[in-house]
Amino acid sequence: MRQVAFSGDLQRNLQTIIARTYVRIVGSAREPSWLLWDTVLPMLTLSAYVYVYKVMNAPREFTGFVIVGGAMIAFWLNILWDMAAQLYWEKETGNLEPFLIAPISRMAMLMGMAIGGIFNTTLRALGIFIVGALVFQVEFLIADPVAAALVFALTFASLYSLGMVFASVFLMYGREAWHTSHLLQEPIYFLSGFYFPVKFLPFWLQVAASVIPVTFGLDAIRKILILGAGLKEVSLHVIVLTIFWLVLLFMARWLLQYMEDHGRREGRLTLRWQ
Amino acid sequence: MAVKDIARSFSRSVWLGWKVDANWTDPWLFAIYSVIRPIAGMLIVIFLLLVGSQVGGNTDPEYLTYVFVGNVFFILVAQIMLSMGWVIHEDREHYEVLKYIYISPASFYVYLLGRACSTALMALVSVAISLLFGVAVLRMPIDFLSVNYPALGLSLIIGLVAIASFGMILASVALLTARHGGGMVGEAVSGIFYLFCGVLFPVSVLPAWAQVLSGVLPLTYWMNAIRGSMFGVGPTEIANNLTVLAGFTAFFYLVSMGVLRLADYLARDKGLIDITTEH
Repeated sequence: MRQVAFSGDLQRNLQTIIARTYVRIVGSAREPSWLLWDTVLPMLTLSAYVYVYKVMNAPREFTGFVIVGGAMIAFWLNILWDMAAQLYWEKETGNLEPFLIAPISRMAMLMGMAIGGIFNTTLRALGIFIVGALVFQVEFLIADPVAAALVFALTFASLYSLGMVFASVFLMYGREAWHTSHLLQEPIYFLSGFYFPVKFLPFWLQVAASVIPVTFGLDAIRKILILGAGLKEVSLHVIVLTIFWLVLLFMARWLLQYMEDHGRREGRLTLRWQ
Repeated sequence: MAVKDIARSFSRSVWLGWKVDANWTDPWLFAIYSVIRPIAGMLIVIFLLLVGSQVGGNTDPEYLTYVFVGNVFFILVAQIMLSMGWVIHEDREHYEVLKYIYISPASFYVYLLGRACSTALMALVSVAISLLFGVAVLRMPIDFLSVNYPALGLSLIIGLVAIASFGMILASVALLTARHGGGMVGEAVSGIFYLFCGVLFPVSVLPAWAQVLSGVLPLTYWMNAIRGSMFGVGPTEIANNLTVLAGFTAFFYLVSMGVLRLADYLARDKGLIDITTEH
């Protein structure tokens, strides 16, 4: 009997993941202007940074560092706004109640958002890579495709697990969390070295940056894509990213449950425009 | 509309913008939140230059100050564009009040101008704090006693009208498009000005076609006028920049009114005034 129930739960949660992924992808396709907003226009800011490096006569790989950082910004923004803040948006538009009433795992719902988000954002990131390669002649030296796939997978896994942790906060808080998401943009771009290798930061800032998974993911991706590194050179990154992923996934599960219970007790789950 | 009504609509929408942006917390925490982001943005650019000079060997201290001033005043552009790219979606889908604003006696254009003004006032505080931070902490060689304040004030006033006009065009486009995650559209569009208006480097570094584009963007002249005022450049040069800035600003102001009118017509025609997107 218990086995049948488990099988039913598993099937339902898999359907939840597929359904939420579907909504995410179809929703994006319904507003094709994102191609301009999310791919072409962000390249302009990146181009400004590329020109600064050109003015400073920096070596060519720094252009590649900026392009890779720009592509990763697309994922970071997706996590902040389309993953973490999404539960706040669902609450504000009245969709959160049906989600919570449905006999589905919150993590399955968030995983659907994550997979849809990764799909959409990968298209955007590819656009940035292609424009970077065509316009700024960035050379991508992928010597070890297996290491590249592993590092990308672990970076996404840890980042989207972090997104689930953030999402739990949005179950309880409203505009406070919304503004905190804003705060997690430029300060994180700076600390995690989105536009320059993090090794140039002072030591104490590097220590602070090491608690952010994207710092390790970005550094490893740059080494693999721009400097042609293999698995051996990024083995430490792989270990740290794996630890981040497991810890954050566990934290997300616990926090989602805790925040939901807390939200139920304080009557915040249906509180709009707070 | 009578001038009194316009003034009342404008002041109410400035007040509304302030409340929407700031009343989620106490003013001190809000002030900290408002300052951290621009300062982090400034640090990105400062470190970009430090890293660039370390690996590229170009160590011109004047260039650092050039970039610092450009980046600090660009906060106004970034904040206003961010706000104006999001205000329609926020009113339409988040608070679901756009339709009520539409049927109120206030002019929609004046309402949007008020919202832009509210953001501009908050951004001006961020600019002032960032300047002080740069001089006190980063030791930027800026002499506040030799700043040409009348020219700076005039540059700011005309420049803010130009930025608000571009913000208005962005808000008009937002009337016709669905919500995008977190309202990043404003940030994306401000990249146009970041690249082409001499914020981080002289426009002469850009390819020829891009220099032509720089020449028709008012914010290029705004940046020149701001830097001229800050570093005591001769009055003739500042006046030339301000004249061109004023001319382009008047043009784009009229364009923004036309674009909003067109977007308003199309949005009503397509039934987009109270559309919600659930994805």
